[in-house]
Amino acid sequence: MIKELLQNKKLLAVILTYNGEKHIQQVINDLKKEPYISDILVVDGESKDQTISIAEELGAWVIVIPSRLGIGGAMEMAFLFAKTNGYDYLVRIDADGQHIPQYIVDLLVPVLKNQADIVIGSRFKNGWKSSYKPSLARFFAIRFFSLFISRLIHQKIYDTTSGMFAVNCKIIDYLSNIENSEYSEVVAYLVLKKAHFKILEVPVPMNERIGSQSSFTVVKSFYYVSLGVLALMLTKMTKNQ
Amino acid sequence: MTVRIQFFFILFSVLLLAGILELTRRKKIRIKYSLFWIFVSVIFLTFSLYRKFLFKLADIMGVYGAENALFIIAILCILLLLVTVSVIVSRIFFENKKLTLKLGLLDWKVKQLEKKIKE
Repeated sequence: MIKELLQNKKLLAVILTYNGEKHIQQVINDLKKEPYISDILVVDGESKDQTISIAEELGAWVIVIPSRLGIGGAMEMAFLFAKTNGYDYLVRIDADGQHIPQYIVDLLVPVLKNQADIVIGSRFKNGWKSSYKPSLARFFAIRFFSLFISRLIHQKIYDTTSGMFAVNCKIIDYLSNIENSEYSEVVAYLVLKKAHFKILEVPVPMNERIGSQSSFTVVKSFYYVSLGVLALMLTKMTKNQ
Repeated sequence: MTVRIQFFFILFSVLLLAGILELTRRKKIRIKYSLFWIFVSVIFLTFSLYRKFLFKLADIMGVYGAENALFIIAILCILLLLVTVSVIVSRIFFENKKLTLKLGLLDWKVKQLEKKIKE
């Protein structure tokens, strides 16, 4: 079915990496098993380990940019790449193997059917789909952001920090030349909603965090929540381009 | 305002002016920005030379002591300038990011072409 919907359209899969040699091979190989993906792009933040050479050997496109541009800059690079090379759709999955490439189809179908401009893979919609069990502090941070952003954009969003999504060419176009894009997952919802894009959240099973054990303490989560709230309110104020 | 602090103010504004001119001469600062500083130092110099202005100004502002009026003006000017600098730095950051991304794209393209030539 996915083949028919895609026709001759080109789909780019994007992975952002930084010193991720442990999982990169697995992730790229899993992506290659999905026949509807045209190409794989790795945007790397100047990894000091073998990440770049492993990715290149496996036949993925690799673009290296300075890590100080952050996830936002790397994502912008990916959108710019997709735009200049004429891709119609783009999916992103995390480099640490927590996202399962088989489920990209679940995200892609609503985009292909024009039901949404961006579809986000959610851990929390329809209950906790994954075996993911956060610390209490992190749990509250997640809940708080979910409530806060839902109020801001008048749409229920459950997973505000998911790194797995699929977008169509309208969003590729929009995000590839957005001037003031201090992208973070949370802020991106607001930016896109302000530009009147349709957002859809789809429940997707995920692996447990195999990568780094995240150290999310009470102090840290308080810090991130306050920063996030401020960033959101400031973004709400900004002019639309 | 004592003569000593007046002397200090005059000396400072002359040094500032000289410093800015020297920086401009050595092309360490853009003429666009050096104009602002020359303007500032000339104003500062005028106020420290003509005490009457300053007394009047302090009176209008409701400040005791003419030198306090000068301090307040200086601090406000500095704040204004710092905000301007933040705007400039942000713009430079965005431009720099744009260039970096374009470079990333070109880099990739060159690699592809090189591969093609080899084949």
